Amino acid sequence: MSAFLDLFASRFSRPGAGADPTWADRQFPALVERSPLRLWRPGDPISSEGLRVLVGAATWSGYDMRLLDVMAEALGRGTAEPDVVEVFNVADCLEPNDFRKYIPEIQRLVLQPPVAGLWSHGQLDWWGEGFEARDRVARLFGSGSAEIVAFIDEWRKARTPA
Amino acid sequence: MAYRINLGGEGEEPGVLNQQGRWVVWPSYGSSRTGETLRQMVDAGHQFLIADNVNLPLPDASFDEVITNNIPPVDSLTHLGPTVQTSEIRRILKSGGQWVHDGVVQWVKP
Repeated sequence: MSAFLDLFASRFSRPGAGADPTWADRQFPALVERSPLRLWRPGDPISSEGLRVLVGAATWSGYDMRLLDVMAEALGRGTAEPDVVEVFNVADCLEPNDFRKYIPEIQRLVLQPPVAGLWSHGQLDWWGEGFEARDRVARLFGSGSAEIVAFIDEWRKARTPA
Repeated sequence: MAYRINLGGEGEEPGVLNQQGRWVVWPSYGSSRTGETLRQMVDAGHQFLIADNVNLPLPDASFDEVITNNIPPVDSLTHLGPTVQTSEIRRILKSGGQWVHDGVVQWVKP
């Protein structure tokens, strides 16, 4: 399963690529809908049952899109640790404070995707960003940041001219 | 000797000058690849240029290759400000130099 990485890659390969910088972001909601993941929007209820993970990902980040593929694969296999798995697109955060609509406890500037929060029975236990968030979330789905980075490095190397 | 620069985004390139915004000096910043701090990356031999994307403090026609990996769409805005600018890529590339974006040659300067 590589639907999210395919979205990342198709930003360049489709006709007219580059002329439409928001194309991938517009595809994101429908792609999530076709996956085992669930799109969470501000105002949607927060589950009070079990472990909930919310991941804010960037369509321009190969690392983030690979992470979503890893999550979707684990959900498909039934090996994911969290009970509730929800995602959003960080491109929807146009202002620094917009991240608080997703994780109200964020009190500083978010610098790097992904942004992730973990809730236990409706209470936020942890939030993080960048490498730390990717690694923590990936481990809940049987992977890790090192595997994701290595995967993208190999993918990019295969595309790079000699 | 070929001069190469990696502009913004995720993924520091060894042996290449890596440009990042001023937020890399903030305590909450870490390498997207490894989680290392800026200090740790510099100690490991990575070279950084800390500068905004809009006006790179670099001479015209000074690089043989510009690399961009995992960056927000060029010439746009995020909550952190303006993204990498194609006008700056075109300016700092030498004639015959190339811009490689996520492994694909995007443009070669005439």
